[in-house]
Amino acid sequence: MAEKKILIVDDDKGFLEELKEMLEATGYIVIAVIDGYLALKAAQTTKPDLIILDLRMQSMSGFEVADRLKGFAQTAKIPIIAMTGYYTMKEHIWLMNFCGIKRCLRKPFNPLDVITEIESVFKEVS
Amino acid sequence: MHNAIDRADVLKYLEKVFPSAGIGVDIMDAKYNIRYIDPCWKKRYGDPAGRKCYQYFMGRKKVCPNCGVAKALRTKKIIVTEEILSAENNRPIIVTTVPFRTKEGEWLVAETNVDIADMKQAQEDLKDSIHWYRSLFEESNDAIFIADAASHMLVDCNKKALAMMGYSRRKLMSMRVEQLHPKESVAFAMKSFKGMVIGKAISTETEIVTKSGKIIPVIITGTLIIAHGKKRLMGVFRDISMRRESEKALALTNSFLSATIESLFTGILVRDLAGKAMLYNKKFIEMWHFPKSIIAAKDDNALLRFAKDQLKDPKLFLKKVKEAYRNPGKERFDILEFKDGRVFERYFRPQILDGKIIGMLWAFHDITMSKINQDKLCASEEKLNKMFVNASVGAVVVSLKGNILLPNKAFCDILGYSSDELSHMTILDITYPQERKYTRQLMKNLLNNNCESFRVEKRYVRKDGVVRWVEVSVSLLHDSHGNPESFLGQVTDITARKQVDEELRLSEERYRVLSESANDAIYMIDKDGRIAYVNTYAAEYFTVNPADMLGKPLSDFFAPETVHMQLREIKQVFRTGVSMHAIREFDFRGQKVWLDTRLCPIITADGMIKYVMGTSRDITLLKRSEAILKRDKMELKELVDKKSSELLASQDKLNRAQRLSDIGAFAATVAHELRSPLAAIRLAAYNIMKKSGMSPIKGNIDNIERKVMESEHIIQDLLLYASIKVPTREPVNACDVSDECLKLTREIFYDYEVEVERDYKCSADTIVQADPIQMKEVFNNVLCNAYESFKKKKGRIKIEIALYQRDYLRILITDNGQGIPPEKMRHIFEPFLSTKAKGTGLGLPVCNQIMNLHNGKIKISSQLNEGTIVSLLFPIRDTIPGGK
Repeated sequence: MAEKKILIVDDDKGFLEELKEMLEATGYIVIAVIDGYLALKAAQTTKPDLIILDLRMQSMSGFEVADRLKGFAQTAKIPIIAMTGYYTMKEHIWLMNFCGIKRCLRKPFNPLDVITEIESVFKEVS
Repeated sequence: MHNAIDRADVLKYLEKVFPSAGIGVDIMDAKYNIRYIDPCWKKRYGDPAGRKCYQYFMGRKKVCPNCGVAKALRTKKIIVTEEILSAENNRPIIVTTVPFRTKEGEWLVAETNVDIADMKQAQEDLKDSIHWYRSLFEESNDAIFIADAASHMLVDCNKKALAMMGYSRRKLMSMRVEQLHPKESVAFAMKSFKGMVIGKAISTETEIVTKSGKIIPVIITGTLIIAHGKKRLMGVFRDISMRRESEKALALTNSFLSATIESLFTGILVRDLAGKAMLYNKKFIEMWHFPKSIIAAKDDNALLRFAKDQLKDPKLFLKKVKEAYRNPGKERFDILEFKDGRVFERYFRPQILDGKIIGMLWAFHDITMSKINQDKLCASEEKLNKMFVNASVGAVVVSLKGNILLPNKAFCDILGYSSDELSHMTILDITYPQERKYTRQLMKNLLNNNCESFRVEKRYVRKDGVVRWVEVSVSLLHDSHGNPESFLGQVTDITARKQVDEELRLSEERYRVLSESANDAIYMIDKDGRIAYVNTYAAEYFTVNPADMLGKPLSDFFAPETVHMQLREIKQVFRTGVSMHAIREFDFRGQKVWLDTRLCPIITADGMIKYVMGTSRDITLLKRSEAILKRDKMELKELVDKKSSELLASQDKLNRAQRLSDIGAFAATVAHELRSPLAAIRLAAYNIMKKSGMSPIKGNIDNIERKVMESEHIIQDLLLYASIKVPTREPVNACDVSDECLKLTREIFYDYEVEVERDYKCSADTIVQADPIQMKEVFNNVLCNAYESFKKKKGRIKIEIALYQRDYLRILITDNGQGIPPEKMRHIFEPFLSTKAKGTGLGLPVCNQIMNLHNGKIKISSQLNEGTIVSLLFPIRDTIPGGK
């Protein structure tokens, strides 16, 4: 089985590093980017199997990234797991219906929950 | 005579007579023998010897039928007979037969003949003459009277005389000449009569009077005749009444003729064939400017000379005159041009009487003015023609049959055809098809004299097929005899006007509809105060048809005082021309009515105000409402004030809510910011654990994990407090909520020994409109506090739920824990002032907030070391904040 590529996007550097370490330890290939623009570029070039996306970021919010990813043919179908410290009901509905993000993890989450989520996503895809 | 006659006397007589008379004497006897023959007879006829007289003289074989011999012998009288001598060309003779006795006693006859041929002839002639003159006399067309010169008695008269006088012959013959005349004329007549008597043959004019009294003018020619030795006067009376009439008529005619000639504008000159001027009128003298001297001189040549000198071409004039003289039988006509610019027409014709030329007539007509006028007329006609052709109004002359004869330019333009094209068309060709029949009818009517002219609006079809509306005015043109000759049509294109009319009609329709559909009364009043127009709404007010109100005065519909006021206002508008607006109260059919009225003048095109238009709105209800409103104003003010204060209170609450939501957004950001690092810490701890795998650090990692979670809880509480929103109410059973929260709290404080007493008076009434989550939050908080107050993890809690004061549900949670110190009680609902070792200090403030948002209340009373009672009040219904 080929190794899965996961693109992770978050503007908290410390968090990004820890998450990357954790996921790589689990056995995934991880590409970590710190903002939305880089995320878009990386998504197009590396073609990950999954994107873990922080919603609240400084330069470009996760919502916009998700929206733009939808716009590109290559990236539209890549499943996304969102992360956030806080989100409203409105944002939740919007995520579900318009961005196609079915899963959302609330920080600070149990690291094991992340693994579970990722596995279920891959199971779904296959 | 018989015996008395002496033979000797007879013979003597005979002897005397016969030779001197040249008459032969013959003697015959009773046997017709000739006893003696006159020698002249013998000479003429020969010897009679032996022949009988009838043989010898008459050539008869027998005795003559009326033989005188026989008769004389028989009667013994002298017989005179007339005989015709056949032997001598039937010469008439008178035979005188004288019987005598001879001495011997033999009767013999002596016959003598007298040639009476001449006498006879003379007799005949006389007879004829008499007859002829008698006829003349009798049959004369003139009345002839013969009167005795001496006695003046009428002795004879002819038929005509009788007829003229009317008397019978008998009567007339008893009259005298004087009686023939009327009294006035008698003297004069008798004078003439006397004149005639002495031999003067006089012809006089006088009068006679008939039996019936009629006076007849007569001319009497009288002659003296002597008849039978008597002097007689024969008068021939000719009835000259006809002649008199003729004379009068002639005189009249003459004077008429004279007057006519003198009054003519034509100069007349009549000359005889010799060239002598016989007759001329004043005009002739005037127009040629003949001086009196020339006229008086009666010198024809001078006349001619004077005349010719005035002319431009005198030689030609004279030549023509001479020609006329030479050939007077020919009628001539020419124009004379004068040096001074005058122009005469000269007309010559012969004067003919009984087929013979007896003179020459010239007629001169001064046509100078006429010529000028004619020139002017030509110019005028020219102008008129130009006007016709170039008129801006279309004009066309059409034959009686309808053929277009003379279209002018404007007409051609209207139709779009050229003049030439139109001249081959009829008026019906260019008429709109549906109107052809009508057009024909109109033309027929005009021709039949049913009207003098007609004006009609109709349609023409242009060359390009476009239909134009025109107004046509048609009249008849007559020739010089007054007979209709053609139609003259004047055509104006009224398409534009028709469109305008249509638009006007539409506009009027719009206004009418507007007026009729208005919910106000609209009306128009004229100068006399009468209703000129009223709309349906207004008419309905009076429950009549609009038509029934037209023309009626206002007084028919309103009370006198009302009308007086209305008219005053209306008249003011008429006078000033300024609109009026007034709100007035009327008494209408016993009720008080308020009307809001506007009166405006309606000004016609000539600037006169013809009507006043009024719009009235019934504002009675409005007024009533106003009154009511005024009455309630104070009440309303109080109400408003009260409500205002309530509103302010709500506003406060809302502001607080707003502030909270601001806090909410802030908190969200903060929460997120905090959560990220927490997440990182958690991950890092995990990674460390994964990497090291050694149990010694497991405790540390667990601590980190725990603290991270605590931080997370604090954040959650903060968020909760900050994000408390307006409750989403639904029917919630407080008892169920209580039990649910109790269960949860028990699980959290699993190692506590707490006795819980539940006193629920739950029923349908204990269902409150509340946000279940928030309610649970409150319960949880309060219960947790209660549990946490048990120092030794042991205690007792009582929960009471019951209706309170009809409108509220009260939940009392009593514990016997350590209580709350009084100094803390003051700030108990202020956030971030927790007494607990752990906790955000947000619990009670959150509860307070939630209760406030539910329009409820939380009250806490506590005694140190004795316990705490928390009272929660939830309103049963969604009442208006502030009270009933």
